Amino acid sequence: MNLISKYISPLFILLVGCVELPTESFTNPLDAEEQVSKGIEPPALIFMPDTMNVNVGNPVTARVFIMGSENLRGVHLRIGYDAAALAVSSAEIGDYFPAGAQSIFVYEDHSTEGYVDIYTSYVGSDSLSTNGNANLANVVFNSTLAGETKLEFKAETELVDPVDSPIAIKGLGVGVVNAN
Amino acid sequence: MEDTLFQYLFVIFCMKHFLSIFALLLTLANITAQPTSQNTVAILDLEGRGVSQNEAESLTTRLRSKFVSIGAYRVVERELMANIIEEQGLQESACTTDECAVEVGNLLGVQYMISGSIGKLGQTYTIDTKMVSVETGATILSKQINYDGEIDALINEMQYMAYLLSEVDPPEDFMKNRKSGVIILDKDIEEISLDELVIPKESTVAIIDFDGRGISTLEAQTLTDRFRTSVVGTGAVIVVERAMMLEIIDEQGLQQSGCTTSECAVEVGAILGVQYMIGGSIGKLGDTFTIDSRLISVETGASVQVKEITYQGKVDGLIIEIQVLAYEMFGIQPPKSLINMRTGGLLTAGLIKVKTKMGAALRSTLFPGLGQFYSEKKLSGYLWLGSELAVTGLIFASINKFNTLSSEHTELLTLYNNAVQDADIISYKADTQTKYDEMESLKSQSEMLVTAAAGIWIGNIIHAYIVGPRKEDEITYKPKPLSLAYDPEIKGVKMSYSIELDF
Repeated sequence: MNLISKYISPLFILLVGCVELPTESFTNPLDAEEQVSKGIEPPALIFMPDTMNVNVGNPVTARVFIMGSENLRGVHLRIGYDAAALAVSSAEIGDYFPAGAQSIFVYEDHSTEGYVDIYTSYVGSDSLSTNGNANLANVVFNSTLAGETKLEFKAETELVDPVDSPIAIKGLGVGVVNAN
Repeated sequence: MEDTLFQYLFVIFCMKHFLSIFALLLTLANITAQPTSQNTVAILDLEGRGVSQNEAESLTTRLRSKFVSIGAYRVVERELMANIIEEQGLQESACTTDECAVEVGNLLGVQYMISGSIGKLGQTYTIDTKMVSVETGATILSKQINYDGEIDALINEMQYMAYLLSEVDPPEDFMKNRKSGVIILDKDIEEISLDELVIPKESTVAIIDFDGRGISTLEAQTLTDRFRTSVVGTGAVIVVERAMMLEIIDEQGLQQSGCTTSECAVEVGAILGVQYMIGGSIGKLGDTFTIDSRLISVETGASVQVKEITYQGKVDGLIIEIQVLAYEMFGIQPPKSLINMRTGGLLTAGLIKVKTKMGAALRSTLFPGLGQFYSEKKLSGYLWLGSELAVTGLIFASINKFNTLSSEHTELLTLYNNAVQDADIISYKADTQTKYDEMESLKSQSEMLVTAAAGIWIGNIIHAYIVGPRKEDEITYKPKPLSLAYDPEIKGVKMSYSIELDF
């Protein structure tokens, strides 16, 4: 009697409320279906993840991806940031190029203007290019100020094919850094 | 001629009522001889229960002689009393009711009659006496003594009883010589409060002899006698005498010994014309004694008060327990002096709450089936409990499966979120969606089961209320419109006619 009144009844009541469905959300920035619904069509440049959390004073890596590329050989990325809140620490090439493929990777930080330029491309055979989704570059920022700040692709950003013809960019994603 | 006839009739009358006239003259003579003592009393032989009648008579004789020597009352001699009783076609041993005592007292011309009993329980002797006013028929004094020792020393206790009934303090020398003996306190010694009586004051009550289970019938009777005199001693209620009760029960072709159920008690109570009945049993299991008792309303059949006592120790200690019960049965706080006399181990003593429909419903609210068990509907209790547990089991299984799916869903979602290639994204997304759909289905199932469980729960509460004990476990007794029953208040048979008014 005591066992039932003390433990089983409350347990039963608790269990009744145990079955709770999670909020169904597909938020992979490379999910073309989801991005199209947001108005971003491939080929598009996006940050993945598109929201980054960091403690002030700590580094945070912004991973830059190309979604739905076709015949891509080289890119020029200009990423704008709030220089008051973030400082570029380093940048490195992503896994865009297959292993063994020769490539170049250069970045220039213009902290005064609040942007960083990244140049990367295949070298060697002219016919070499890539398709689909890929990680182009990883930029490491240091968080210097608490608050929310955005990472944006500037208009100077461009994609080129093996004959150096520009590829139209149909979508540009936005990255958000939350510094606490 | 007329004078001769009158003289003849007078002589016949005198011869027939010689003893009565003699007693009257003797009483008047005594009154004249000892003007300081005005009250007269006759003492009937005490009933022996567990002691022989000879022993009871001897002890009564000692009581009488001590009464005489104390001098507070004028005592009618036993022989004279016996003759008068015999003359009236009565037997002294059969003259156990107050009515008979009053009748004899009237014939003897005394103001008071003393009657009582001597019982034995284990090694303890009990002496219960009461003094009845011949004029009013009311019990004006009741005294009880418990004595633990040899029967021989009861002689002293009888002398002590004489002091108690005379309401005279015994001499110090006498008290020193008294080996032991415990006076059981009554309302004359310690004031008791009747504020919290569970029934109206001066209600009429009949007490059926407690059923002895593991103890002898004599012991059970002795304890019931003590219970009865203790109840009288509380002054809270009017108690029908045992002898009168037995007479009426016998007339109705019933047997008191077999009357252990509430239904029978209600029936007997109706015949006796009392408002309440008390019955119960005294059991023995090893060294443990149990007293179970009920105060039943004759009108409704409801148990107004149910009390149980579990006592461990010598059988003698039951005397105190039964006296305490006499108070507690009516919601009266027993005298502290009585509580202090408790010996042995009182394991439990408490009022058993009377079962109600609401009690059943509340228990079923706590957990399905409990109310049914409380109402002693075990089969339905098991069914409700089983149903609830079965559905709860299904809910548990559902929740368990849901949790497994939830973990898998989380894993797939992580894979999806980290996937880079379109094919992987599409594949993980589809799998995640499938898991989500399954979870959704299980959630609906769980909700349905929870609804079913809640339905069973509510149904069980309603059922518990419906099948629960009727209001205070009543036995529906409908008084007959025309009844001819003994009325303990007027101490006579009363015919009554009642009409039910349905408003």
